[in-house]
Amino acid sequence: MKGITDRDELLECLWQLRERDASTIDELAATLAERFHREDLALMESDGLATVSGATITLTDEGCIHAERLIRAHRIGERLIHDVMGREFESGACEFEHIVNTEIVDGICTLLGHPRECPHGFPIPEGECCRVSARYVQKAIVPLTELRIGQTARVAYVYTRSDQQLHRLTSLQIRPGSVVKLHQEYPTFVIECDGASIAMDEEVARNINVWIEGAAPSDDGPADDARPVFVRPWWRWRLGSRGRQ
Amino acid sequence: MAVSRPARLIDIVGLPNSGKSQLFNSLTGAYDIVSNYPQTTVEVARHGVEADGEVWEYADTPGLHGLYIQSEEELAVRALLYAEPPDVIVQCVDANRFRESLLLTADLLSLGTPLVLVLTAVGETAQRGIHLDVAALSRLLGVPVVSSPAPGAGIAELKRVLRGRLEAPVPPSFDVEVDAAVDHAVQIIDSLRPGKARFPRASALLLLENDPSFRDFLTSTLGPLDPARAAGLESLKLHLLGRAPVMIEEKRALWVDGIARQVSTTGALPPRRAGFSETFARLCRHPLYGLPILAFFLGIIYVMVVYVAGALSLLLTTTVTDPVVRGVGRLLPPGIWRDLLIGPHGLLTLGLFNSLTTVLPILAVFFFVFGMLEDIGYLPNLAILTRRVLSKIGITGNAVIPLVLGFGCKTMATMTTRTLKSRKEKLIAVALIAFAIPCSAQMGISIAILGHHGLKYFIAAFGLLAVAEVAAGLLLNRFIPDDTQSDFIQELPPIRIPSLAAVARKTGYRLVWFLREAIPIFLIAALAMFLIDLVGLLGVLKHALSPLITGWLGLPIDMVDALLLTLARSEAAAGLILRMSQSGALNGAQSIVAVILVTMFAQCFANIAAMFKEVGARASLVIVGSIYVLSFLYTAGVHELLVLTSGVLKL
Repeated sequence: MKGITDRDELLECLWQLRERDASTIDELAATLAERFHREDLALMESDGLATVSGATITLTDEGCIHAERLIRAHRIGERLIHDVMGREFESGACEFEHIVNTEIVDGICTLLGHPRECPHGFPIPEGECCRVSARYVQKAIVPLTELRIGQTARVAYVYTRSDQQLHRLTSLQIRPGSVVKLHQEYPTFVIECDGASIAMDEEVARNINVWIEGAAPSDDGPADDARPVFVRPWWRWRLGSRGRQ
Repeated sequence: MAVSRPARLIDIVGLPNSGKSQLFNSLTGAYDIVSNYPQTTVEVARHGVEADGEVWEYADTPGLHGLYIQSEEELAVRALLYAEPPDVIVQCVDANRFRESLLLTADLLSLGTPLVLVLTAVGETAQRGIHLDVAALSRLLGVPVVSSPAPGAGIAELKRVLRGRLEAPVPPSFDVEVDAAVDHAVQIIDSLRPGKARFPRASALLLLENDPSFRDFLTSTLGPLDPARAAGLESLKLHLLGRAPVMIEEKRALWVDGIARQVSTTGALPPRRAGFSETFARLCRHPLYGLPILAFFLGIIYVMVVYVAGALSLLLTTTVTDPVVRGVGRLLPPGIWRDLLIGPHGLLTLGLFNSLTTVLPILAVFFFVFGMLEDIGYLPNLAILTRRVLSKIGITGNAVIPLVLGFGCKTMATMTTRTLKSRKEKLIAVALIAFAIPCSAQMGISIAILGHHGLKYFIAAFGLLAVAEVAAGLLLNRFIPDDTQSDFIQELPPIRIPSLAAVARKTGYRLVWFLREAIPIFLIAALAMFLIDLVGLLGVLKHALSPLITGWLGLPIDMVDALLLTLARSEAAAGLILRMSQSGALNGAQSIVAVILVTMFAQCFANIAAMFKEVGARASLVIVGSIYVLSFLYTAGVHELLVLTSGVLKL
């Protein structure tokens, strides 16, 4: 093993295999391709991170803790890049988990409103912050149900119960990046999106997460203010010019 | 006449409420009902047109969001495309919902069938300051695009485009990885039966997106997917670096964004205030302001039917019916021939004039007003207003719209229940539509009957019908076991000022349809009544039913005639009741009982047929049987109630 990065890579890969129920050495080799070295497995075992038995390789409890932290950081990073900076999340996030610590990850997680899925649709492991719903950073993303009537907001991400629901919402243009306006919340939620009025149940509306006013990234790329959005004090989000045309 | 295969099959597809039926009518000169709400068309309509010595067949299809199916009527469109691959697809692109339409365009392009886009509602988007560059759109997609700024406009150009040579379009490229996966999946599909698979690219995308029904459909037509191929497909999905449906949706959405950005420009507009259309729609749905608006529309319907249609009917009766009846009376001596024509069950009195001078004026007025409401786009907004109430009776989700549509035509409403995924919701909706909701024809005549006595009778009768409906809903909701709840996500049509000409045309179409369907039935029913009276059967029946009709329900025994007529057609019965009511044979309280009885008891045959199709024979028979029994029990209760409260309410 050449360094920490390689070990982390291996741990992440094992976690993903476990999600797919395919924790075999063959799958691992297929996924890592030329970066796969059989001797690394022995090192993992000796470090107490994984156990090999026959053709299968499983993470130990300690391995799981490490892998979960890495995956969480990686997927939170993807969310951040996808939601805040634009859409090219694949290239940017792969280094992310190696440089940030748990505290920063939790901060970003809170800022993003404790997302549950990465842009690929995989689950993001819960952090301490999700469990206590800490608010040491003001939330910038809220469910649609928390908007005021008449308020306009940009969709950050949408959770869907099923593929069908995903298709239904996407085909109505309710997806990350679209701008929605809340028209009504009783007797049902009515929003305007891409020129059409759409009525929906509260359960559906609660799963649509939007940037609160002033916190949404604009179409023109990063704003002049070069400071990262998550270290800006919360009151600036309401006063700042971001998101206003 | 030998039926030849049309030279060209042209499918008109598009999002719900995007103007497909409008376009179909303009292209073919046929008439398919056009309204301003989604799901006006739930089945495919076809019409052949001769052009340049060839027969071109156009198909008007239900609304479609994409090839990934979201409801049963969408499945019908995809099944049609696969079963009879069209020569050309014409897509109606609602400019108001441009991106949403482009998602469908992406799917249609992947079919590889020549495609023509028709941009509708361009005028409305221009008002909102959004301009679409038709030439750029055509260039980017590689297909002809025709702009139709107003309903019926641009048809000549569209016809010219359709006559020209149309090339198969190039499928859109979403992303290197997705494209590669699609190419592989195409190979897998093609290896099943080489060269036989229809629309391989579109099929590949559907497989990768996990469309729930498509895999079964594909294997049923092309043969089973062996384990090796199935595994190959699964590994393709895994190599998409994410959940395949999420990734494909994302990339396709990006493709749409790219096109939309290059095609649409937003002009400088003064700070936008909410337009009339938006404000009005919001008020219609508002829990407080929505009620006076509903009352206002109901008031208009009431005044139009009771006074305008009443005057029209009276005019026709005095100028046509009365002179003819008098003339026949002078010509024929009293006897069987005179009774056959102008007796109580005469072909002229109960058959022809009942339909033409009593029922037709009311329907003409009512259909016109109702058509206005349809084209304004009021009904789906009303559905939102009533949703909370309806959720208490088990109508929790998308079933609200079919239920509200039931006031138009029960058969159509029952057919729309196929958009519901939950069996429970579907059963409740179908039962409630059949039970105490009057369809537009019944409603029109019922208003006329009750309005003859006064507004309070109208309010009492419809209030009691509503009570019955709510009670039935509560019971059904209680006793039908829960299943999956469908999510309620419903597009609402924009409020539009209706075109008088379009509404008049729709009304005319509905009246012609009514006359063609109803007059023969009115005549046959009158003849049947005449015959059973002649042989004495009617007398026997009246004697047998007398305890029920006069005892339980407190109605004159001649109501038996009306009930027998409802077996043929409810309007015939309602026409008879209207005349009984006008002649004083029925008083106000009796009119309430009669209207409630006929509304529940009369089961339209077309609706029963639709029920069989949507919920199956067993459920339909149980529903219809229970309604027959319940209608008598409930009306008997109403009669008792009216008798008990007669001192207080003075009804």
